[in-house]
Amino acid sequence: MDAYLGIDVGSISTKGVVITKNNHVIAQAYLRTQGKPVQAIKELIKNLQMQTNNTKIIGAGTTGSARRLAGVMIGADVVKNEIIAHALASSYFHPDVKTIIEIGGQDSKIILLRDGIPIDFAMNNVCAAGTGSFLEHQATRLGIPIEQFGNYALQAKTGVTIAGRCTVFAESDMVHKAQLGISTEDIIRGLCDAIVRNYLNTVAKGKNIQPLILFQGGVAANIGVKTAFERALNEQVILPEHFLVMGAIGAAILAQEYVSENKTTKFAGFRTADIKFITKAFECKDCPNSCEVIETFREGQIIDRYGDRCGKWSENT
Amino acid sequence: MKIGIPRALFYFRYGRFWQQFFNHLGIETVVSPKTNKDLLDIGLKKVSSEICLPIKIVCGHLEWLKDKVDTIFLPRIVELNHGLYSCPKMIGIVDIARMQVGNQCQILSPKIKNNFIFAHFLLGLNLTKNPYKARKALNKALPYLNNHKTNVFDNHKPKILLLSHFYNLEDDFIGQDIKAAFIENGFAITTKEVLDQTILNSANGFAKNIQWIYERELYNAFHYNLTKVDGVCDIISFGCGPDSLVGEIMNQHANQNKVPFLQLIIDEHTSKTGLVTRIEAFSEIIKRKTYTTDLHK
Repeated sequence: MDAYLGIDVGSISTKGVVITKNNHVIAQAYLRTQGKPVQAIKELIKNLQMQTNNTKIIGAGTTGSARRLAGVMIGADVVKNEIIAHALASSYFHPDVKTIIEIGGQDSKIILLRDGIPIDFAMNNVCAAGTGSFLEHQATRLGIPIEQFGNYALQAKTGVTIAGRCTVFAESDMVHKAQLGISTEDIIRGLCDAIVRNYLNTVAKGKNIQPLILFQGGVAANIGVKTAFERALNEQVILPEHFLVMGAIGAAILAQEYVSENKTTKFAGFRTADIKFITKAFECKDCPNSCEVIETFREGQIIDRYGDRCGKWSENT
Repeated sequence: MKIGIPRALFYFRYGRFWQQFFNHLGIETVVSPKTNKDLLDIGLKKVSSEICLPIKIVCGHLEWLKDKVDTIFLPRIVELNHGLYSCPKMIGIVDIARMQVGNQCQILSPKIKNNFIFAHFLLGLNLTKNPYKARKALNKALPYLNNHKTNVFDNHKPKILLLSHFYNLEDDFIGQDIKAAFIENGFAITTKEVLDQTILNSANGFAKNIQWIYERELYNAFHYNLTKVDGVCDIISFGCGPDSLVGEIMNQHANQNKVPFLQLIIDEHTSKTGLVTRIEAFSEIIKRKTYTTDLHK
């Protein structure tokens, strides 16, 4: 069977899917990037290979903050940003979608669609308060597994106000409220409300949020945040079936678009998992701009170089 | 006498005029090099962290100039065209410069308040004590006040209006990555610098409410181009008060007219990766939009 591979490498997690030409998901994997994207991508590929025995990958796409690295490693046909990937996947599964709320490990975005086409978007600009890594940190601090964090918010009797503008202040506020004797459940609900407030005020500010509203990305797994969104927006917020891997599905759909036009794939095959990749960075000292140049090596051979302003390194690969 | 001109802020509009003017007065000028990371890092250490990126950059240029010249030229542009004001940080930059490098060199800062040309004549007179020479130098330099930029449009490409102050966009250190990303995504770029001053300073419609010189230019350029381009990208330096207000107005007007609008906020922490992601997504939105409107025709 012919299939398409999509990979989404984010700051916190690495996601991958294999889909058929009808966009049916036949394999998916979600694992932690843990600061080692090369390792994570290899494991992901191994994992997906085990799930898909009789399929032939005829197109591959990557997205996420490490899309470029993932793209060179697996030989992707398309390397696209996560906004378009999320928009495409969402409008396939929910053709009526008008708003996508996506909160990941370190960024959050809003995408507006009309008639299935993305028309506007915004990403958090100078601050990442209220994204996944902060929630995770708070869960660890309170000794609650992140998977159950949202359920605590649902058991709250009342909400308390937590300052959501800055994570450091939010944490001081949580500590202070706990010292006043307020229950953990109420504080967690307060935190979920603060995250939603911060998102609506800084990321989604001024945007026309209309139903159907989809909520995806890692934080969507937190039922507390989902209900906080519903309270704030007074609308139903829907979690798509594959909310964790929507970006990866989008990348696979993009690969499919590409292959149907170009009839060929650059995909290097699942053997990527066994090849040795090294990434290095150095600061070029040839001019005062001191660009940080990133290099990727496959078995000792340089395959990609970028990060220079003038292009003299990136052009020579 | 050797006069230093920082290649920052006003330089990107008046720099050629000033160089010609001083040269015809017989005064040697030194212009600091193009902004680079070193200059920025020096500036960062000298100035309040709350201030906007272009001011941080100019402070780096002052530092570079201070031991190479005896005088730094930095005019205090307060008001132009009656009722149009400069931003407070630009009015105050002279005082920042005095605090920073004032004990190492002179700061030459004529105050310009609705008298741009006459203020320069007085400056020339002061420097040479010769009214004839001052007037001659001014006349020779005046043609360089006009913009000489023109658009080269490839009609097959979608057009994007890059909106930002000249001291952001014309400074390659800030503007180059953004321009390059749009060109790479297949766009033809236009900016407000190619427009005539009569369009930029027009007080018609909403623009009459805006009393900051350069904000009015932004709004007028936006309004003029709204029906001529496929998308608008507004580039704001973090902490710019006037930009945050006018940017929001333009955003709303663009939405009403269904023109895709992207706002990029920049400061010294801005990463190229973040900019490229946003520009790539924005480009895709414009292209997919054109594609479907064509389908419905």
